[in-house]
Amino acid sequence: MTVRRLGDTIFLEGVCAVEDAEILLQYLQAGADLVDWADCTHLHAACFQLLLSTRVPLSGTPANPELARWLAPILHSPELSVQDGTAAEALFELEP
Amino acid sequence: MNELLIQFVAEAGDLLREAGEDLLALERAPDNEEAINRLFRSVHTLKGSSGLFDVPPLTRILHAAEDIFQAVREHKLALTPEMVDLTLKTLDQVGQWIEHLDQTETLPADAASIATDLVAELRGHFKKGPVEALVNPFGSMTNPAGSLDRWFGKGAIADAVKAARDEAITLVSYLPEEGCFFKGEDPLHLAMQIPQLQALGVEERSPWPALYDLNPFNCNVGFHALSTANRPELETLFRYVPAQVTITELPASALADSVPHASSGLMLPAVVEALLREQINLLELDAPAEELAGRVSSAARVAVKALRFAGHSEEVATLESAQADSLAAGSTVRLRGAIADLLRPEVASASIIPDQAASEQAGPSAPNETTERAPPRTLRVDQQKVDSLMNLIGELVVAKNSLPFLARRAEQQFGSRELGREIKDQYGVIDRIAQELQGAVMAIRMMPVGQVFQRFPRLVRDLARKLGKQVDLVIEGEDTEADKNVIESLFDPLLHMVRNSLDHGVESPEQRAACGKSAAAKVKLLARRDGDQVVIEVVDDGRGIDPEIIKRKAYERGLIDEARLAAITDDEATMLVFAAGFSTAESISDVSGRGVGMDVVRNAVEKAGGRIMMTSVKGAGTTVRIELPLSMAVSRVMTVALGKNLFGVPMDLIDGIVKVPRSDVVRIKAAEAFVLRDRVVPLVRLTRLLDMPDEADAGEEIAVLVVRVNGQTVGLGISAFGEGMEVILKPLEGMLAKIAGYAGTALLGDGRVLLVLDLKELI
Repeated sequence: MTVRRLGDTIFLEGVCAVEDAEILLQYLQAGADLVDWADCTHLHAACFQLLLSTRVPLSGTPANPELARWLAPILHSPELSVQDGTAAEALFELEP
Repeated sequence: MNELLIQFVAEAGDLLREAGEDLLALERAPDNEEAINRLFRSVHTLKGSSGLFDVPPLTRILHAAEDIFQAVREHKLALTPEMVDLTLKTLDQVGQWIEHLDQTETLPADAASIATDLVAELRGHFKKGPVEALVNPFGSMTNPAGSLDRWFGKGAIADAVKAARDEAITLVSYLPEEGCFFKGEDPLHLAMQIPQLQALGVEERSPWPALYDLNPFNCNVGFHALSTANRPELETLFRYVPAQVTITELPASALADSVPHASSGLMLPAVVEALLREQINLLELDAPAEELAGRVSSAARVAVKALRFAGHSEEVATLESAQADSLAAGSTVRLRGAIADLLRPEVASASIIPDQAASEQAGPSAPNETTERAPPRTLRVDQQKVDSLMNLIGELVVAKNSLPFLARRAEQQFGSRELGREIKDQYGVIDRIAQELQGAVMAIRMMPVGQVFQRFPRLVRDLARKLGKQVDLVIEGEDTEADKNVIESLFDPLLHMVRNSLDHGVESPEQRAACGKSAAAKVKLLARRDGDQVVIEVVDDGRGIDPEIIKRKAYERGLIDEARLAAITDDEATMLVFAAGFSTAESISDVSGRGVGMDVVRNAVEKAGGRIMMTSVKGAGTTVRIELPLSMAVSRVMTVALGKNLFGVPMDLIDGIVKVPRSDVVRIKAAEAFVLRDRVVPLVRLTRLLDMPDEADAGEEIAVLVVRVNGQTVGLGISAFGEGMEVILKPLEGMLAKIAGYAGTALLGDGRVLLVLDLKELI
């Protein structure tokens, strides 16, 4: 199993292929709020864009140094995440 | 109904209204940032709240509209009139569904298919517009260097510049197809395989949808990469998807521009920088010789750790050698210098701050997105509750008015003047409180005229487009307040008048140009308070009314006879448009001109106790003026006695009261008349109007109430004048409602019922 959920944490392990995107999205929609990608060796663009759009916090450094080098700055970057600031907002705003 | 849904329906109404206003404001001034931000927020909030209920079609169309407004807000899409039409239509649809929700708690059965069509239409605009070119920078990139710092971290660019060593750097922009996942492609993998990759950045194809709308198999990311590889190598890599890639060589200078002074120091996180500066400060302090070694070592240790943390292990060796030098020389200077070298020069860091600020401003994030809205300071109260409060106050006033009678009884019947006076004192107190209470409740019922006016910008816009005319609507005095009932009775007459103005008054742009007027006509809606009346005016600068045409038409239609045709003045002729069955339009359009317009307007206004007037200058425009009472809850009446009966006559009809000597009454066959200020005024006995037995003629004079009814002056013969008073008029209800001639009833202080006459019907 490459996408695994334990409590509110999603673990990405080994090769996360395109078909894993669906289950990853389900976990994210179900409220998982941390992704541990320490054991991830390959991340398909479909999974990557989910991590990117939801701005879910990541923990660990991926096993694959290429992933760590190129994707970690993007997924952790505060600058880029500002651009889609509206998309990940709360579903509705409570009046103060 | 579910409390939450009630709240949603109420709130949605407000938000839709605001959104409609902002949309129109935006159409007039496309660069109105405030309007687009507010518009986006309204739609966004609506969409968010709608997600709480089982109304997916509603959420979908709101979402599609939100996407458009977001693109507009980010200047990726220009708002065309067609798009305004479409988005207004969307808002209307939302409004209809909300109404349906309010009544049945569900959406109509066809909601899903309507939503699908509407979303397709909305998305169609979204795709066709210039947005694609801008969202996809790969299409036409005029200044790729300017966008670099949006895609790549500053550190990454600096590294790339270093790696390039003054050679050209290549920017690879790769936007995969949306459906590429189904072809077995992995764009991310491909992007990471770019030879001699120096920096990688991402950009989304279109704004990210909310989490629940995400389609994971729809590729919405594109990549930008900096590489030092040459073009053929890159083209080989992307040989299967050549159309999705643009490869641009960037001169190193272009990069240097986007990272000012980047190479003159390390790119360090702020916390590391602060730590290093602290070490310099520490080293600068004078210290006894025996402490020097410890201090140098600890500063060096901290600096090394900070550097490792920031990922600059390659500089550690330099620091360590500097530490050794410092220890050997017994001075902190070497280490201090080494640390200072690591830090960017002050100049550079100063110049980077404004740069960041600028990029934040340029970014699409909303400036006011996080500003919290102040909690609403108003209460939503069911109108019925206010109405019942009003009724209670009415009863209180009546009950209060019985106190003077009681005082009189105490005095006359029980002979206790003291008690009578005390009751009168108490009456004074209760009277004051009752009046204030009444004022307060009236104030609750007061609404700004703007509530009605705000529907007009949209109406005028749609009408003008339909008629092919250009109209600027000006609204003034929308803060003027009046009773809710008055305000509500205002909409239909105003609608008729504005329609008439646009259809008959305002000329087509060509005609206007021929008359030397500006192409866009000006239609003004004005409101102001005048004493205890609200005055509303609809003013246009159109072709005006030709009194000659009115006279002829009125004659043709048999509304006036020949004698009147000859005698009538222009102003009076203008007023003829209010006569029933009058329409001057050459053809009947679906906007107006069915010949029922203006007399309906007049009736509605008069029903609300108001008056309507029209003045017009041929070729220069028309002004219609409506005067309405501030409040319909309290009416001023004058009581008149007829034998032993008491009747009320509405005060606004009364012109005056006179006593006419019986000898001055002229009898013309069955009718009577008298002369008042050199005019013959018909005299009508109220007893006859009401089918009551004639009273025995007593006294030398007849009390006559001079009233103006339907534009005529009439003298009303009565027994005696009573007094003017304010009453709360209750319409006749139930069985009594069929009886003509009475406007309603009011309770008098002594418990008697006062019948208020409807003279318009009687005479």
